[in-house]
Amino acid sequence: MQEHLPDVAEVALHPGTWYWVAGGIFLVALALIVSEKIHKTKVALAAGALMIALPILEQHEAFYSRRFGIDYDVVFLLIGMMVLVNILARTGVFEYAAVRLAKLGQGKPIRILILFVLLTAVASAFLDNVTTVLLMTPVTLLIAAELDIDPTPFLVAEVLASNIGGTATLIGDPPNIIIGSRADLNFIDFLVHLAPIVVVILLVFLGACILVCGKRLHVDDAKRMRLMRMDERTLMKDPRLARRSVAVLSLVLVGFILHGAVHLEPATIALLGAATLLLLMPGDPHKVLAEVEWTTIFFFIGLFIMVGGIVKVGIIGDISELVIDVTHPTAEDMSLTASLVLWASGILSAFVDNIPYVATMSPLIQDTANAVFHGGAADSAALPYETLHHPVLMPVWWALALGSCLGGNGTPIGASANVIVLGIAARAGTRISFLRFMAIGIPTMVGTLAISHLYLWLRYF
Amino acid sequence: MFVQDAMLPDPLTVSPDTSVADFVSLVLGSNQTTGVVLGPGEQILGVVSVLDVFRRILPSYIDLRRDLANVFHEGFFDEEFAALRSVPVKSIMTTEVQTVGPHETIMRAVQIFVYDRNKAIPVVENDKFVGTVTRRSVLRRVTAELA
Repeated sequence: MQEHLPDVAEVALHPGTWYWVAGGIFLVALALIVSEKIHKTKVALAAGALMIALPILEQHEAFYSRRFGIDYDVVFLLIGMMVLVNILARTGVFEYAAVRLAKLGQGKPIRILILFVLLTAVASAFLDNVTTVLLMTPVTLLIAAELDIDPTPFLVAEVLASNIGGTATLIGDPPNIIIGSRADLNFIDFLVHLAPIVVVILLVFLGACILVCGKRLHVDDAKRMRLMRMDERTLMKDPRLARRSVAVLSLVLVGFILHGAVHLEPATIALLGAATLLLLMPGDPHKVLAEVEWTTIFFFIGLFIMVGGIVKVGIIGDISELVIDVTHPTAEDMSLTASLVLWASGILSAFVDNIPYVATMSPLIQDTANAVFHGGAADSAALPYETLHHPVLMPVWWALALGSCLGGNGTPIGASANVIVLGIAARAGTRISFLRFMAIGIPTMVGTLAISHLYLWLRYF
Repeated sequence: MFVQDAMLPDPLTVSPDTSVADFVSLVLGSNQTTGVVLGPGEQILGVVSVLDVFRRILPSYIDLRRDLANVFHEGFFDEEFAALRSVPVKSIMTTEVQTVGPHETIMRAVQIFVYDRNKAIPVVENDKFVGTVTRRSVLRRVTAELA
């Protein structure tokens, strides 16, 4: 992504008191975020504000620095997509599509499972995972109730599929948006490098679902006919707005694909799409804008400043030296680095929020690339395109994306989508225990990481 | 007007173990839709209303996507209600109850009717239930006074 921010004189801080203060603030904040004792947005904002209030970061660095500050490419891409998705969700098109698919499957549970897994995965690739599962879970619970079957296999399969599908594109999962911004990777890059293996992983996952669930899911004909008699047209609240939303979203995706030709950054394209759809939507925009996940946006803002603080004092640089000492990346070979990043990202993401993890790892990889390709002499935040896209470095970025996204399947807390689905299910009387989820989640995580490792090895090493 | 001026002469009360079926029979036999759930010693344990019955029938995920309620099969309500009939009201009652005192101004009750959307408010004196005031009973009283 191009640099549009003004040049800022960045004063390097020597290791000293502020090194440890910044590290301490970061570690305490991270521990609080992971423990969930205090809401993560409160923690991130407080930690970010402290970094500025103490002389660790200057305010202009936090607000304007590409290296230490808020990444507005990420923030505005998220806002733009959230507005688009909120408007699309209001039309009922999703629920309409889900019931239509269920009827297409003739009400047969295994067919519905396959179709819903595919719908969830594809939707997650283009909408965010949380919105996708918020739309899919109620209609899945309803269909399971009408068929009088246990919704658990459907819900678990869908949430795992949402994390898998979200890995495929730039906009499918917030970690990919952060990686895309730091590594100057665009929508096409993700489609070319990640989408193919995500398709393979999804097919393998579907095969496993059929093997595990195929024989267990049976419904009698009377219940199937209940589903077949559903009138999905009553779910489409605003067909006109639905058509407009799908059209604008399609244009936004085309814009992402052609962003190099149109010379517009993804954030701009998303904002253009959002503004267009707001204009096409009748009425006051207040409600739609109020439904943007501002707590997530402010979490990102605080997080970027938090990470900027430890980048500035040199902690990230020191950790990248450690990574270099352990994995010995060279300008010819970073296979060990990529492998370590894949599995470490996967395992950590199963337990820790992948967004702060990726926000921290991205500058670390930039620093590592700087050390390996430029002897540390370049500006890590402004590495040349050729360095960021060096064929030896690229697998490291993809390892980070694959690991951090797929790792979220390991535990119920590995991804926000997991937490939400289990919460909705529990309120509806379907309790999916931690262990029951992990019995499926961990093999899925390990299996998908293994396939990813094989892919990295075959394609890049 | 004070609350005690508009209290119902015969408020609907039930015990916590009263079944939903019995509560509904009481509702149909009176013109009240809310019953006060009393424990031993006349202390208020909660209130149960027709809305609580409907709320229990409606699956929780419908609040995320209300239109999904349109596609349930025809007999869904009857089946769910039948399953609920023998359930004690203590399982569905609302336990956080707004109350008023008999000597408070009726405007206290009116603001609860409007902003909390309660249809009936238990009246409590010295921690004991003494009556119920409803929107209808307030209107009946003010109409009688102005007549």
